[in-house]
Amino acid sequence: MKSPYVPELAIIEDIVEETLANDVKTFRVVFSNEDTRRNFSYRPGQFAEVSVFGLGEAPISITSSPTQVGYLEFAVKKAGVLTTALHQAEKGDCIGVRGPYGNVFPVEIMEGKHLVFIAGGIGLAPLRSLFNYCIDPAHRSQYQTVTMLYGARSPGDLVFKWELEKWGARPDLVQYVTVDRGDGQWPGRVGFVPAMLMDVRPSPEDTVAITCGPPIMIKFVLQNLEQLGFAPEQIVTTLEMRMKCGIGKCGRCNIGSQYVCLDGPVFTYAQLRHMPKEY
Amino acid sequence: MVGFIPEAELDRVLARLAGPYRLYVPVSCAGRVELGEWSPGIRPVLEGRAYGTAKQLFLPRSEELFAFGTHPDGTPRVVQPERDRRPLALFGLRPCDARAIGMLDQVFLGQDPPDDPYRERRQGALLMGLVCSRPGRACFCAQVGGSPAGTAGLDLLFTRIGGGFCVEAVSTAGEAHAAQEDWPAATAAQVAGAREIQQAAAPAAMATPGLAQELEARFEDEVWARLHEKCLGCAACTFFCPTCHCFDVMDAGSYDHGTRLRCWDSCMFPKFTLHASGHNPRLSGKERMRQRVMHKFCYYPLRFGPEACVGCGRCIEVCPVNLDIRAVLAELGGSE
Repeated sequence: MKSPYVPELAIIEDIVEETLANDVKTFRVVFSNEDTRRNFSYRPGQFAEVSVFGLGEAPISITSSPTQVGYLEFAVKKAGVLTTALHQAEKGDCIGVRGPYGNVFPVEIMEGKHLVFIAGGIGLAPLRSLFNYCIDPAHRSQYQTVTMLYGARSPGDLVFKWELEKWGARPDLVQYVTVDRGDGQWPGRVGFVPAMLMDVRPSPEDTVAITCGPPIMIKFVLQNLEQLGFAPEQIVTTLEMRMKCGIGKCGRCNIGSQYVCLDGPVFTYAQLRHMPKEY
Repeated sequence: MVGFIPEAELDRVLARLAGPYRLYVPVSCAGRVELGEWSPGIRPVLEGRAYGTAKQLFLPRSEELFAFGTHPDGTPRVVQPERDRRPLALFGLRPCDARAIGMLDQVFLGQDPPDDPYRERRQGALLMGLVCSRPGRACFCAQVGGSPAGTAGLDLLFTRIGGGFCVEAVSTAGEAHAAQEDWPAATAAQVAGAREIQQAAAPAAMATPGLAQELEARFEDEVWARLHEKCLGCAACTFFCPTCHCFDVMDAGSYDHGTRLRCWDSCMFPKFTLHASGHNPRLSGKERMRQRVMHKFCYYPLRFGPEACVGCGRCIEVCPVNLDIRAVLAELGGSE
């Protein structure tokens, strides 16, 4: 029997440099084993443990959507040992992937609702899986309006720019993008994401808000959503935590009695409010 | 049925086990009792409890999860290690330590997916417990729902009486083994002697109902700021705890020739929860001490039922600054 700790081998098929500072790259990977390629099934919100052999592994959210068949995408910010090694990888290199792990965004609860996505920086990566899932022709009709509010520190820090353009061009989607600071050429909005949220003022009626970003952004987004009348049950977020095993054994990703790897990473604000503030 | 094994027969009983099983017994090792592999001539220590825990037999301090290397064309290959497939047998296990293994089972086997390396060791293991006739100075099993004659997690329970051991099967696997061994039945007097020892050993149990719920509400309590003050963060308590099971996963070697290892880790270390971004949800000793205590007496019970403490007292004995978990519990309003 195969140990859950043994990863599947996967080849890096494509690498996209997302940011001006080149600190975020998106890796498109394909499993070497044909059966794995066919059978690896995941849902929006889940993550995988990504290995660079010789250096270890790290939990990374799957940023591709299950509607994109045949490959996985991971958007990785260069931060620690493992992600730095990943950033040195080239097309054709082999990495390890095991998963998928964690719970999923409550897509069924979202059905029939307006969706408001609120993301900051690399926080767009986990939301992108859900966003692309919901706007896929196979699912789009199950949701009412779909709005994306996205921001980053500077224009150069916006990730998935090519896709933001694509989304922005779709008549059935609404998109607002802001940056904390412009760069002289930035024609768009300047300001923080929580402030933009108060300008856009989405109605809480029949709406689910999905948010991910730096902790400080999430803190003010939650406050502002409540001010707009969103109930804690209508707000969904996804957390990150240091973890090793991804399967509820290694004992480090808990927040109170909840394991982020098993019970999360997706939590509603209603759940979070009952959890210790230790994340 | 209660069987009886005369003391002189024990050696032969162990010898029969040592073939099909990897048999561990308490042995004297540099003046301390440790669990060691039995071989002919080794006499198990029947007093006191082992300095180290039995968890290391199922969750070793460090183990290889797999090896990796490259094929001649440079592509990686992954090889799972070959392990000794003989099941483990433990003789002379104290009821507290057996109970702790049951708690590890909940985490490693009870939650999907099961932990394969743990399962391989745990499957078919025969746990033979020995009733404690005299509690140690740091023992407090009865305060956390255990008993010196407890049977939780065990297959066979041995009670040492004059001249030998009364043996009782306390699980299906234990019954199967007892049937196979066909020990002669203990006399009524021997059984009565065993019962007397079992009852005498058990102090009045002091359960702590509702402690988990109570602690959950005390996450922000000021008590935590005080409790951790003398803790050095050395993590000895966690390494010697039979229910602590946190581990780290790391690679040794390089891309073309290496191994992925898991090693015991501890929530008492500052880097345990350090994110790559630099953010750390448990920044100071206060948060880390709270995590250790809460995990045992609040988080684990909320998830699995019992408190993740079996009262073996090892953390009390090994702490370099005499932090006593019993005093911590008393301060928190639990048992004393």
